[in-house]
Amino acid sequence: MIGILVTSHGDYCHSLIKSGEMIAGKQENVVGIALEEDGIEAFSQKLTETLNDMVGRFDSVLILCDLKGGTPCNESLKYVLYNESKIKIIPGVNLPMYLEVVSSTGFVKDINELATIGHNAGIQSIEVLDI
Amino acid sequence: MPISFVRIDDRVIHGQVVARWSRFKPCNGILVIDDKIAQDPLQKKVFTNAAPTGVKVGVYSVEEGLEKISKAKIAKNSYFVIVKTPVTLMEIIEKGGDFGTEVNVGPMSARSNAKTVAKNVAITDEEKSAFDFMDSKGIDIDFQLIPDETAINWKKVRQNY
Repeated sequence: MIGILVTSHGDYCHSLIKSGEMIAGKQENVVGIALEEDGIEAFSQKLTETLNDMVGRFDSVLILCDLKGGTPCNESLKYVLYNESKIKIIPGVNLPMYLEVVSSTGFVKDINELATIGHNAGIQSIEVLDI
Repeated sequence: MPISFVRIDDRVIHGQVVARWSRFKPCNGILVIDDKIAQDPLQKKVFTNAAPTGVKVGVYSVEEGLEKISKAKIAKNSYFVIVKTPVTLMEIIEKGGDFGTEVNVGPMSARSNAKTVAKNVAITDEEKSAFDFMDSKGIDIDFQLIPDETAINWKKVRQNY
């Protein structure tokens, strides 16, 4: 199974996971890590520990980050560059992307395929309603 | 002015730069100038991947940076210059580089030999001297993490050292 890690500035990751539970139910393969005020070192440490564990526990890991270029995304990228990478990263996570990804992990085994599914779901979910 | 923003930030490119400053000031490219990052291919990759939408990031040594700064000044695009420490800016000035007369200071992490002088800003003796050096050259140094906050000038911040 593919593990999902959500990283964000503050509690967005935890709230996103919680909101996702309302629609898709509780997910066993999802972890959230929040960057708190002034806590980059604490964040990086937690990120490293969590990813070390997830890489062992899952076939591969998909990291969904809140903002491209933000510290949660940069630190995730750093981990992937400095360690072996059965890991893919998608910045810009929104609820539709998250839901599509978690509901696909039951049958999608290939990390590249899951990343494409998440990317498409994120983009295609945004539109201005024609009223 | 082609160099639209000069910032000292030890996190280099992160949320405050990507989501706020690059939308607040004209920015087509970011020149990251730091000898250590320039020599580290992995760190280089992290920051070139951190580029805000529509913005190109280049990572350069001080020597390369001097050339990039003079080119940027006559370019039609606007550039940000980002360094990790005021010591790098001092070096640029000493080597004849001219990036303008305004410098913004973002987060500088607490370290064992650094003293906290402002919100999220800790500086060492060497960094204090570099700020004083720039101040003596008539450069206006403002401490301001994000555009929405009030800027505090170095003349005031240095009293906390």
